[in-house]
Amino acid sequence: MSSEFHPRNEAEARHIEALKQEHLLLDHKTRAEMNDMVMEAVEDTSREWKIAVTVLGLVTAVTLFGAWGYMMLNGLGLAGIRRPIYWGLFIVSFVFWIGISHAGTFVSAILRVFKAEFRRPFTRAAELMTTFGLAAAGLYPLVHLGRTWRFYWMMPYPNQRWLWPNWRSPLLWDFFAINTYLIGSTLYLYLPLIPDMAMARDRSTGWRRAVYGLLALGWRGTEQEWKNLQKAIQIFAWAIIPVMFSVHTIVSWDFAVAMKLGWHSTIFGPYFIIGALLSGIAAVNVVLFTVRATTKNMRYFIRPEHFDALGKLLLIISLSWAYFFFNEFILEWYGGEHTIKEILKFYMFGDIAPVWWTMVTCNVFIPGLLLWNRKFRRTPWLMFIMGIVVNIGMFAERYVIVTGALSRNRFPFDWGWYEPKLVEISIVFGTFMLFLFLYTLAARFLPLIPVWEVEEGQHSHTWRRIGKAVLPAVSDLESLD
Amino acid sequence: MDMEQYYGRYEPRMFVAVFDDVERVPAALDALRQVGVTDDFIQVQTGVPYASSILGRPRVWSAVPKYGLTGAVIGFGLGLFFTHGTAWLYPLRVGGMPLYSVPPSLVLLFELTMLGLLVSSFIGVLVESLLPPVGKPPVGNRVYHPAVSDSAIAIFFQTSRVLADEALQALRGVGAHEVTEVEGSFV
Amino acid sequence: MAGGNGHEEHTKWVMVIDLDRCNGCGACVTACAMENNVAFVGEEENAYGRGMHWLRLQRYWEGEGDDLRVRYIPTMCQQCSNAPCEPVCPVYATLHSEAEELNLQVYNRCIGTRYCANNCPYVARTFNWFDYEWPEPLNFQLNPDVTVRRRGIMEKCTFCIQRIRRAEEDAKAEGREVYDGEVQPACAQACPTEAIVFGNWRDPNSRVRQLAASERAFKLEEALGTEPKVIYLAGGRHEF
Repeated sequence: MSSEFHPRNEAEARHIEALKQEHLLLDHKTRAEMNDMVMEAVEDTSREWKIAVTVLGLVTAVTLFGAWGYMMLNGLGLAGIRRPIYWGLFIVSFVFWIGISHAGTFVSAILRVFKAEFRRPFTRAAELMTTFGLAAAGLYPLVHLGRTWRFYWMMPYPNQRWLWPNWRSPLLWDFFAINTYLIGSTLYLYLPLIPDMAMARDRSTGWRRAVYGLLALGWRGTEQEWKNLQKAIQIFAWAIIPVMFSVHTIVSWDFAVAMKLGWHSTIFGPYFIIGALLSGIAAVNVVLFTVRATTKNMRYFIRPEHFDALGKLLLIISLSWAYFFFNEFILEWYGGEHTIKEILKFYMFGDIAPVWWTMVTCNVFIPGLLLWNRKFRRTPWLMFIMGIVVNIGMFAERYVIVTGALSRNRFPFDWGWYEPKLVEISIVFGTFMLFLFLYTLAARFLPLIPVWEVEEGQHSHTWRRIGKAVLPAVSDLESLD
Repeated sequence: MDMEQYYGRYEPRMFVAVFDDVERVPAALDALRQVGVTDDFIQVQTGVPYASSILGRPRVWSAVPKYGLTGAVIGFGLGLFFTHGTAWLYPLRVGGMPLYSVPPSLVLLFELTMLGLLVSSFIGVLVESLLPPVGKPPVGNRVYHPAVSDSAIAIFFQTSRVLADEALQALRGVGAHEVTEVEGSFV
Repeated sequence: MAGGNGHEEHTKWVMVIDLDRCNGCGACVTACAMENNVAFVGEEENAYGRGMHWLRLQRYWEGEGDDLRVRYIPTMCQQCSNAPCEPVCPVYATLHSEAEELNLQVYNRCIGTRYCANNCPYVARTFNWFDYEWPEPLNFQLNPDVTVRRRGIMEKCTFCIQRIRRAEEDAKAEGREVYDGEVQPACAQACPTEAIVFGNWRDPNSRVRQLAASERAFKLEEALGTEPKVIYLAGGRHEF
């Protein structure tokens, strides 16, 4: 599918060159070149990388699993939680990581369903974030249990007493929703990876060839294989969206179904989803910047245009979050219930106020004031910082909701205050290390760019002349049968 | 039966023609058909998905949605069991709530239906295209050309000695840059 | 259906607490801890908010200066009929006994999600943060009728279910009904002012029934619809 386009004059040539600089999908390279670039990136297991992986692995082992084991041996009392704040940093981080895991699927599935072309180079990087975010999130329901070694009692299996789990419990809904989402999003990550695994298999040797060959599942690229794969990707892209929405809704229901003022709010479902997308899209920026900065040849695939697009998305979602937040906060206030007012006063002016104001500043004011600026959105390192700022804000939001609401109860006698202790902080830090460890490891093993999808995108982008103007034209190859 | 009558006593042999440009492929396929190789004996391998209408090949159907649907039904059934079956097997009262109720069970019904749909769609891909069919030679014997993942287009076709020369000639005529005999089978 | 203890009609155990009679001495708290093997967590942990008391005295100060008054509300698990703690447990560790109409906590089944504790409007539930030991000589007073709990599980007031069971079995052996006042939870037994009265709601002549007829009667957070089985008789100025 050659699409040679001959500019008529110098100005037109410059115009075309500028557009190519801007858009990956117009900046054609041959597949062989792109394959080589991606494989070079994957096989670049430099000394720095090895040190990074080793250090991250060791730090994870100590701060996460070491601290967790120590806590399991001694008791949950090592955490700072106390009556009446029975949930603390673990649940905060659980909600946080579930939120992070949302954006991968969001940008990948929703942008795929709507055929947004700019998604092509970074869907995989985002989906990987989903999978590893879920790996981190999935630990917390185990970490926070009083008796972790009995976690399997939540599973429905025919045990000796024929006693089943309680399907009315939001925690059981969580269990099913998270597992569905974890399995679904991992398979969704894997499906488009199969042709790239075949590509990697064809141009690697030794153990890599063996592993890639196994993971490619004998992929050849026949018409039937493509058809089945595309059908399945389509099914996944459509089906994973409601699953994604359900997961964070159910996480919000952990709070919203409770007879707990400050938690029992009907807007929590969509509010949490928007919050998840806010932190998740922000995290995609962080991940893309890091991948771009630390992995070879990624500057070709991930360009300012992508940060620009994600920045716009982030702005819209930040404003939506503000809208939901306003609904949640002010309308509860106007309800006038005494305890609610105490809770909201505690948020704004109480001991937890610094956290609450951090949330408002990082989630609304900073992104709302800066993301209007095109230059800002197009500067990757600024978007990296923005991603971190927004995530600090979203962590603060979960902290306020979980521990703040629990601090103020109906009877003033049951008011309390929570401060995390070292073991909790270590475990939470450890899951960040776990995420980085897994991602760093995967970045030198899996092709981070879905090369075949980029090539497909480049095939569908051609040039067109209307009057005196030259502009890119996109043909919808995916809709052909 | 057709096949045996047509090929008579000749052994079928497998060939491959490799192209760089997809624009040449429809012509190459037409040439093959003219020689007498029907679409049933042709397999096209590509590095990016090309619709059958681009290649001028018979439309391909996928059975994956059927797998998905079956899985969804199984998942829904499993959900019914977990929500209503287990309450019937071991009735326990909590919070003054009824033993069987619809709204809270919708959550698990939804999750398990989706889980069934997703997992079985994936299984569909495995069974329908990637795992070797039962009784057929293992994966290693399937025809493949490594240039495919560099976006080359490989046309594999099976024909008899009688037609082979004519077919190869025709393919070279439309610009195949590599035409050779290979070992292996389509599936 | 599970349950059924042989009685035609279930008993419905309720507790009446007269706040006018409560002087905040704390005997009930002590008696409860001794009867139910409530763990001794030590001063420091208790101050931190890790006390395991199933029964707490809520203390409120009212007024100022000469008019300063202190009010006590002894609060334990309210044994709600529509208990919010029950449906949120993923493993049925807390559930409703249809025989006693009590809110049960199955220690062996509990995995320690602590969701029940968060969902209790009365904050009545306690969690075993560690494995606790009873320093001498407290270890000699452990009640053999009640199990001790290990770390990582929830526990709460049971209305001294072991005493209810014993009275029921005694009555059954003697071929009679449990008479009013036969069952006394430890808190009621220890209360020097008889502020706490326990009995069967289904017995129309029981003391609890008569006391609850008072116009001072109320339940904690009644509007929530949890239908608690602890009835308080308002104390103080009696404004209602």
